[in-house]
Amino acid sequence: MTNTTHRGRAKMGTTTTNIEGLATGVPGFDAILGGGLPMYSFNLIAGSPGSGKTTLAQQIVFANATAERPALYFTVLGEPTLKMLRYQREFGFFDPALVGPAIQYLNLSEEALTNDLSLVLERIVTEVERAKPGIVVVDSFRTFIGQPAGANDTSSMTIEHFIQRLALHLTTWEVTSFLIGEYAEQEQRNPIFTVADGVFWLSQVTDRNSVVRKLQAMKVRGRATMPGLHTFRITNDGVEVFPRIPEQQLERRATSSRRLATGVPGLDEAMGGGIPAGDAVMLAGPAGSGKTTFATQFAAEGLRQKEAVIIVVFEEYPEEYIARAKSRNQDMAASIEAGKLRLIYLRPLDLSVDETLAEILEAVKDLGATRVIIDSLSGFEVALAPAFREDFRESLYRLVGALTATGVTIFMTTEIVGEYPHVRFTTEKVSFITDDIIVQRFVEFDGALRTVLAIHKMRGSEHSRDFRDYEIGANGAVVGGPIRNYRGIMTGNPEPQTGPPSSTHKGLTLQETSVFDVLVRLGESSRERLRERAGLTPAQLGQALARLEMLGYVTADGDGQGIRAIAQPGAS
Amino acid sequence: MASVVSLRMEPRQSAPGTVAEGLALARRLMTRPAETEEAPGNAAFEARISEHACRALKRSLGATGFHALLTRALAEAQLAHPLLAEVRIGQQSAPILGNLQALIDTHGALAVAAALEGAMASLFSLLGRLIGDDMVARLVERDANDATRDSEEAP
Repeated sequence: MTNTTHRGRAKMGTTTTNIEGLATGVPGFDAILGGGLPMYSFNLIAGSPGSGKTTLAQQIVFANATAERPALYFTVLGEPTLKMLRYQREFGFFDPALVGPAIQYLNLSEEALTNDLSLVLERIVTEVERAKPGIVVVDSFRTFIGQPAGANDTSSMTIEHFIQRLALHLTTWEVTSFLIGEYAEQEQRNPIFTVADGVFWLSQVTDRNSVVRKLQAMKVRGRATMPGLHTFRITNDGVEVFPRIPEQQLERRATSSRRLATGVPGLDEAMGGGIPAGDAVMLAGPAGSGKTTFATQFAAEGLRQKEAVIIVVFEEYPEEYIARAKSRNQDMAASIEAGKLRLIYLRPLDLSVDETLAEILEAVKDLGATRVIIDSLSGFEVALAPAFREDFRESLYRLVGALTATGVTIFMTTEIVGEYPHVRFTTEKVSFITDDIIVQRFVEFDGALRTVLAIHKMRGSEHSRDFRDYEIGANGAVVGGPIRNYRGIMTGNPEPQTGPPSSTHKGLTLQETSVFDVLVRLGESSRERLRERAGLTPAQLGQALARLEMLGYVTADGDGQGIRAIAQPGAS
Repeated sequence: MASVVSLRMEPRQSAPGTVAEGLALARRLMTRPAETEEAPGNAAFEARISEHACRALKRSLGATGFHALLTRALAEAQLAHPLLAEVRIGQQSAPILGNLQALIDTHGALAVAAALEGAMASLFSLLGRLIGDDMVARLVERDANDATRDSEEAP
């Protein structure tokens, strides 16, 4: 058997004992159990019909049974063995080669039909002594334990006595056992709940068109289990549990003073030099404001810096996302091929936040990613099963907490509804979880629709308080300088401000604008003079001039030393 | 002392629906080394093997499930072996395939042996369609040994 070891302290406090943990073979389950199931424990798997009890037990059996320590799987009157074998073998964990030498299926229906519990116990004891198994499952235990009062009148043994003797016998023979039963929550006074070392409750809730399965470790003796209801899914591979509180959250990585370039010209400047590494950023804007373009540029910049990036999309297929990025000269397919980028597209409409988190965390770990883009939170909320939308805020809080604990920087987009100053994010209730908030909006300037943005919040960091316009062109988004010659921008219909016009130009950053303004005043200038007048470093000037020249604002002479403003195409 | 019962005097007929894997498993069981000297086509030997295989399946599948399977298997095998119509299925701890001695007396050992092989092939084929031939073989061949031992140990 594959074991993990869980160190526990003996009751006397002077010696330490090792309670070995049985690795369940169910992804995510061992984390909930605090390191596997205690060896030789007597467990109850309870829940409603169809909640996955048998599949969970079978998966544990197939993960642990060997020819030396086989598993005995007793069936009683519930699901016929024939049908159980027929359907269970469809799961990936089911290995027919183990049936017989390592897993023996035995039927107890004849004994159960006698209503004499001593006969049932005798048969189980006989088989255990014969096979010396490591695991015993009784499926379904309820069929002979849950009889109404009086049904066991022919038995020479009470239910309480039967359960106690069975539990003792199985533990004495060093067997980890699982009793499976259909119980309702109000039946928890049944003696088996007292005797069992572990009680696992499986449930499924149908809400409109979605079905959500949840697992709770109600009781596990000798283990500090992870509390709460944990989502699980049954796929062709069997049961996979998504622990509610990921382990990573417990070990938050130290924060760094490093800033990440956004890849959007002008935005880093507005954000005081870029996004602080490890922050959770929310970009909120109305439909069509370019949120995905900003997100894609943030991803592309990460890839350019040789970082690994995860993009989680909900609103469009990955192929479309890749194609759109390619139209802006960002070859995501090549990055995916190189193992530097993973695009996660999750099944819509029945997701749980924990499942999403598990997938993202796995991808972050696999790639060693430093940037995670969630595009968008609005789409994510819609993709969730209705039952999870109710606690979206709390779930997202855990998701962001768990992700940032790994050290990644998260860039999330969300949609804005309503008009200024009453603007609302569709996910406004979760804005408190973010470190930085950027808000985009449409504004009418002189009869034309323009896009502006503002940095609403940057936790623990200086940032611009200005509204800045931005444009989305063939090469992506470019954020311009502060808009100073208008007032009432928040109304959406600003008016020109009286006084001298400022030198704001379409599509230029603040630095580029100041260089251009100086050049306009000088008419023509050498690089050195221009640099002195604009108060920039040679590198900053070179960068600004390169873009100004590319955008057609300036022209350079043959040797590149003489610079001249040639037009003011974007002057506003 | 072990001998192999493998000779066939003539090709035996198969019931409709019997697949090669089911027939092969039945023949494998019927030709395994016997504990005692038994002549080829010995109906008593085949009856004992069949009984063990049936007990093994009953242990795994439960009395109700196994009874349903055996009833259908016998009905299908009857098309090729009409004498199977006379087989009685025992209840509880009685032999699962009852009154075989009476059948041998009436129809002869070879005919009964062939019929039993046909019945087992039909049973294994039917079960194989439901849970897979590989698993049938594991259930029968592994558990048949246990069942053999258990029945021999029983008073």
